[in-house]
Amino acid sequence: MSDMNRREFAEAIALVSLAPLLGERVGWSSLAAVESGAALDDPGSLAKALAGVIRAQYGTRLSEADFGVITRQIQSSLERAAKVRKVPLTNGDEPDFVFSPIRVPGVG
Amino acid sequence: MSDLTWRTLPELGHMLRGREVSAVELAAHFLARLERLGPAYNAVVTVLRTQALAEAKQRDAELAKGKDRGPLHGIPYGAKDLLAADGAPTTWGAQPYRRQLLHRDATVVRKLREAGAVLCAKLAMVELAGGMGYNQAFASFTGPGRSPWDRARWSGGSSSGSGSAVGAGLVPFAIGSETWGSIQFPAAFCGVTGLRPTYGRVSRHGAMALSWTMDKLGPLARTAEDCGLVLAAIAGADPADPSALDRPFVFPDRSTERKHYRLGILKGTLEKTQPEVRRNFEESLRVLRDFAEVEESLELPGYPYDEMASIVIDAEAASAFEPLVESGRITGLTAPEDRIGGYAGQVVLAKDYIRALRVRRPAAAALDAVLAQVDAIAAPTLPTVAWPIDAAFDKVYPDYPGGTSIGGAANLCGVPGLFLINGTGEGGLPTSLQLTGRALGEGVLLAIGRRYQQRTNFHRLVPPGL
Repeated sequence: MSDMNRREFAEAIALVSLAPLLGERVGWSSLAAVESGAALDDPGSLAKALAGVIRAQYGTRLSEADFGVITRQIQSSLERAAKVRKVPLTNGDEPDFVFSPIRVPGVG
Repeated sequence: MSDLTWRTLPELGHMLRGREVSAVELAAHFLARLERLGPAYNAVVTVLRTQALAEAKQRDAELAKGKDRGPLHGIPYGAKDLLAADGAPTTWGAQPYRRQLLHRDATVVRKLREAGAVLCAKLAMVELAGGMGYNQAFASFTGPGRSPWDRARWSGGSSSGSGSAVGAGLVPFAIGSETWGSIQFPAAFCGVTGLRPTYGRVSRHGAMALSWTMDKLGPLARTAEDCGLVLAAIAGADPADPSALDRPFVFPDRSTERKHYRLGILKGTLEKTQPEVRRNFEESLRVLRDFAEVEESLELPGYPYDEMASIVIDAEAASAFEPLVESGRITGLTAPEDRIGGYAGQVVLAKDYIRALRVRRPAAAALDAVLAQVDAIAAPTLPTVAWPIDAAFDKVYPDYPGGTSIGGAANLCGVPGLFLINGTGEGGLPTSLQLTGRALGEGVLLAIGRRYQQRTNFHRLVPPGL
């Protein structure tokens, strides 16, 4: 793998055709950050803190290089979430999932 | 019996009912091709010779007694190896699950059996349907999927074997799955027709979950008509899958057969595409204009569709594969990047995931408002031909990343897509046309696709050497 992982790469150049393949979860909200060389080279404190959760759970099996990649992935995810947060919602806007209290016997 | 290989489903059905061929002969023909040619494309996980021949024998006996289960009666097929099928391992393309036995049939497998189709093989796939973030074709324990058009090119993923098996004439049709691109890519890179149904149109019960709110199962086949016939057999409600819609699909749906259609094109859709892709798309439009008006300046709503899709898949996949990560068995995956690709998703914040689900509702309504202006949005399926098999994805065709794409929005919002070969480009490799429609609009897409294929012969092209 290159130093810049595939997700960061796709985000950086808005590589539309790659988006579905690269983990099936690539956006490009961090384009500006990548262009500025800031965010992905220097993940924010929240990304580092969340990476610390991973370290606490799985630290013995991951290398420092692995943590570097994972921390950048977390940073990218947070930047995607920040972009989604810009969409205004009201208290009445519900999650788009279906829940039914009616259970079919023998099924779940 | 080589003339069986490239037949459409109605043609094979006609031959069966005319006693030109038996179901056993059909199964034997395709089983032999799966066994002989499957390894060349890394297309097959398990060939089900004994089981398939026994089923085919039953289908012949039924036909002899006058029992005809419909257009798929006696037709061989393959299933992506994320679908449970009793009597065979279900590997999810991943080494840690190589010996997994689920001892049940996925609803799709059951429905196809009830429709008379004969399961001949479990087909290769990218490990865990790409859920860990692969960056290369070497991301399955069966090896990289190879395109029938050039073994040095990738078959696409994650439904790699489904695409290459149909493209190489190893089965008349196959079932694949798409969360974001996994039918689209193999259909394009293998030069076949693929249908991504509406979310919920087909039960997911018995299929590996990557993202419960985005996974879809659908067919890859020779033609749009073939895809319609398969969808008619697998669509419908299922008590075992609460998301499965009680909206049976009938094909052909005469209500969707019209003299004229209306197509839309997104602004910027042709930017940064290979010249041959652009040329073939423009030629496709010329054909489509025989029976469709084309509106050329549609725009996607301004929602962050791709970001939302990424968050939803990250969060749901983190839960779906938590046992794999927790146990450390994730280190058994094939692609090195997949071995560490399951960690970041574990710390997606709940509020971010739920917010994405909340924004999904107005975002889907806005997308539907655009789709409602036309019968389908047309676009090149992909901006390039199949990628070299040994190149990292972030290094291939850097000059052609593609223009405006509807893929993330369509998958997040669960609307259907049809992918059809529309010519050849660089190196004689196939290019592809994509049609995206409103939820439950498969009938319209298939009608347009069938009309297009009645006017062209690209779906009849046979890969070199086959």
